[in-house]
Amino acid sequence: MVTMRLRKPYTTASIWSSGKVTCTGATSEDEAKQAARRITRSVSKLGYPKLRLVNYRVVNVLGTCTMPFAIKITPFSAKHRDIASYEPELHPGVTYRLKEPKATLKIFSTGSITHLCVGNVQSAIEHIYSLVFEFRKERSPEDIRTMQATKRSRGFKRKCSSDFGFEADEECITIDDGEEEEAEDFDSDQSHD
Amino acid sequence: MSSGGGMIQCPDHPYAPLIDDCRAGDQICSECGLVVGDRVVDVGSEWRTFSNEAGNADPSRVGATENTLLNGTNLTTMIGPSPSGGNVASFDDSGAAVYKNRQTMSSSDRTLINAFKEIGTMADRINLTRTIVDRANRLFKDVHDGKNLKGHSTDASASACLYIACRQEGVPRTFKEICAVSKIGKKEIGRCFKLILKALETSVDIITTSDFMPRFCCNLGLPINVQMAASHIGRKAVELDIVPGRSPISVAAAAIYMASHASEKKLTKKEIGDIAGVADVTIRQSYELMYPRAADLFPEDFKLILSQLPQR
Repeated sequence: MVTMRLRKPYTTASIWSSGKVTCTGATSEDEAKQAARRITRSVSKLGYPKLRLVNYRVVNVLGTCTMPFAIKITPFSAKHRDIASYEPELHPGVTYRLKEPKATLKIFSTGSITHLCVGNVQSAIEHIYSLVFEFRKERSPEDIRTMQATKRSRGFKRKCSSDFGFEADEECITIDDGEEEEAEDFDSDQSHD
Repeated sequence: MSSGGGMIQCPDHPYAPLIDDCRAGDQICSECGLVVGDRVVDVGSEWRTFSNEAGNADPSRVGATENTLLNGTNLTTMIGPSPSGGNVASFDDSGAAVYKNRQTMSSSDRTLINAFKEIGTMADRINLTRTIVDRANRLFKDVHDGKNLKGHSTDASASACLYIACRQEGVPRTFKEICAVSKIGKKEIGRCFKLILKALETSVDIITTSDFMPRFCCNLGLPINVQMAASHIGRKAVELDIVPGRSPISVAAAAIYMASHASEKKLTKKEIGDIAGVADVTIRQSYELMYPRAADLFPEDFKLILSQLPQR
């Protein structure tokens, strides 16, 4: 298995001898596709003139977002005992597994949520927003001051990972590119109270 | 002799209690004296054996009790030299055992027996009760039958079963406490724990600070009033949500620290951290979150002098 890193877009690809390629680290779907094409091109330059990109698919999208409120995770996990799993000794966040957009969400008490899902990120976040909203914790002015004092810069982090494969004909080898993970950051427009 | 339903009863007095006469093997109606049960077999043990009697081998002719729920019927008889060395007929002239083939006593249940022994040993080290051990054995049996944890070592599953049993009985032990008596690391036990919960489709209650307070305070030798103060502090801190995102163990340790510093016996963070399995910087972090509201956290009847409490 060969690991190949591209500078722009900043991605890492694992290339197997079977022809399958896994590409991770892109920050949007388009970037992931572009990275896939670049990898195809670089491999084709090694002496496989008619290389094709086949079976490109996004495998995983990884994203983080922050709620404008803090979350009381203990009552939240108590209510959703069957779907959510909270073990404070093992991990400080609640692990919530959704079925219909097949997603795994980690919910933290600060209000930030990371999600890992296959398809529609937006619907997963909307679904969890309504559940989390009833367990919101209002922030006192003191909390807001401490938060602004330790404010980190919020950037957009996207990580796309993709699966693609090589198809080896007698003369040519095709490279399939896929996107695996995609991270997105979005903050709500609501201001703190 | 039994009249419908399998329960032996006197025909004239169906609800009268029956008296067992063990010498004759009879069951006698207490109202009219009619002998109702006949030739009742006494299922008690024939001999009593004491642990200090090392000399003779156990004269009991029926062997140990069957672990029926967990092992299935295993009525094999083992022939061979007895471990206590009481039976000289099993050894030939040169001192070697005559019957050597003791291996295949229970091939399919070998892992079960090993795991039960391991659970028993681990539980013994931290003085867990028999009910917890039985529950852990039952969990392991269910897990073993389901075969979901095939890739993981039996010791890891056994440790995770013990952890779940403690939780289900309402006396949770921290992962670190289980790690201390097991050779498996915390990560692996945590992984097996999650897999077992998914496989058995059960869930456990979430841990709270009050689950650990009595144990930690006793191990530290704190008097009862400090223990009650610490329990109150821990509970209040979680209620007021002063310590969001902190593990209940860390909050409990910080509460003990605060309570002990408000009384005569002042413990260091390191001492508390050793007992609770919490790093002393973690205690400091939780304490710093709790210190501003110290006055709210202590119980009302506690004589609190705020200047006595350290700032960090």
